[in-house]
Amino acid sequence: MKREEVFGASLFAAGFIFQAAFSYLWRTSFPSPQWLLLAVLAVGARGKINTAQSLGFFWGLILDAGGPSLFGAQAWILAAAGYITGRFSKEVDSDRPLAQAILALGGTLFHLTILTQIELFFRRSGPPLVPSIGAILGQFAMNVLAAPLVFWIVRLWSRHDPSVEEDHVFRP
Amino acid sequence: MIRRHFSIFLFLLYSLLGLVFLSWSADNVVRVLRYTTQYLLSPFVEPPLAAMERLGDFGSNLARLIDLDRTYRSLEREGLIENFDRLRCDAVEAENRRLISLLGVAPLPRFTPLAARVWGRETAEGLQSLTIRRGERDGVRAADPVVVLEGDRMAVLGQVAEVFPDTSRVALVTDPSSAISAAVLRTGEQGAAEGFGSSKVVLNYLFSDTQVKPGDEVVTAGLGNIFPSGLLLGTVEKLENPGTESFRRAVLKPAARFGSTTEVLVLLRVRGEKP
Repeated sequence: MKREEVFGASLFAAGFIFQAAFSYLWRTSFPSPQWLLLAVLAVGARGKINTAQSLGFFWGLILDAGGPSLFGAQAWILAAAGYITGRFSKEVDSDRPLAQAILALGGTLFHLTILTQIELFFRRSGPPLVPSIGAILGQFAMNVLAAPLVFWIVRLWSRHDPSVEEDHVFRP
Repeated sequence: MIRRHFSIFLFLLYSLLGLVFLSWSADNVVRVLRYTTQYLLSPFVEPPLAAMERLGDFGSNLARLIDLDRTYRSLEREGLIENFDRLRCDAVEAENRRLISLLGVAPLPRFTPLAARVWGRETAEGLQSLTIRRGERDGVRAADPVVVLEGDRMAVLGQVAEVFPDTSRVALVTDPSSAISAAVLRTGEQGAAEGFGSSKVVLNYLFSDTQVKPGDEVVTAGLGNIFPSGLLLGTVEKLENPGTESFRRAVLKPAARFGSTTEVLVLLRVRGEKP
């Protein structure tokens, strides 16, 4: 098994376990940080485009299976987020806090916008799940606050796999 | 070509799969898969969940601990406030002693000054008194002189009339019950300074040919062992004839400013001294 695959598989397992534990412990109606979305953005911003979109797709499937969103919606959104971030990783220095905050803001905006559009287009039974303004603002805030931590963890994790895919890594 | 553009093909694959899942209602399949997975994993999930439950209680326990700590601190603060006034008075007393020594006020050999904070006032026509936060437990006794510092001199404020465990009532020199042996500083003539109410003191029993005139300072004479001699009582405002030909009296303006006094000095008599 290649080092890169071990990196992806271990990160997938760690993200899944963390998300499951956090969802269990987070028992308030206030939005929680979207850890998996942030992790996909962090992996993509480090130039691992295939790992990022694969992690995003499978983590998204798990989120769809365990949550109220349409099955396949978050899977596609997270995969697309990983792909887009990976594509632009050469232009982004993801070690800078400002870049992390912008990525978190952009990723959240992308996630909320596409998820709402998918709900409006594909939902056949029941009303579409459209978040309130308060929830949207809370989501932005939580993601921006949590982004430095997630990017830092992914950077530590990436030390075990220094390879990059298709030369997408940022070169100052 | 596929290797070169692998990421694009992978993204197209995921997009296609996503579209299929969204178009084909997979809710039933997902539900069956979810329940089956939960059933299979349940024996392994319970211990971590129990651990997480304990971990989840950590926050509430911590909040409770913080709350208890806050309550404890609040109670501790209340206890401290109880002693705060006493501590402040001790500080004022120490400061007063230091200031007295700095100002060069002559020490009073038979008295020990004790600083006290004013707690209340009674300034009705028939009763002019203050309550101070010093009492029997601090060594205060009835008839102890009470003074204040006016400039660099000690001015008589009054005399302890009643003593309680932690407080005392001080009858002001203007109180009608107050009578202090006094002398005019310039001429040496002596008389009795008696309270007249309405912030006035009169110096009675001056001879009819007295040389006293307005502006003369009147001090304690030191007779009777109650007040030390030389403490400023007030200034003569005018002379009056009370109705007899033998004596005249002087109306005094008291030196102590009763209205603005917040701290006083009780002159404790040295043990063995009696009024």
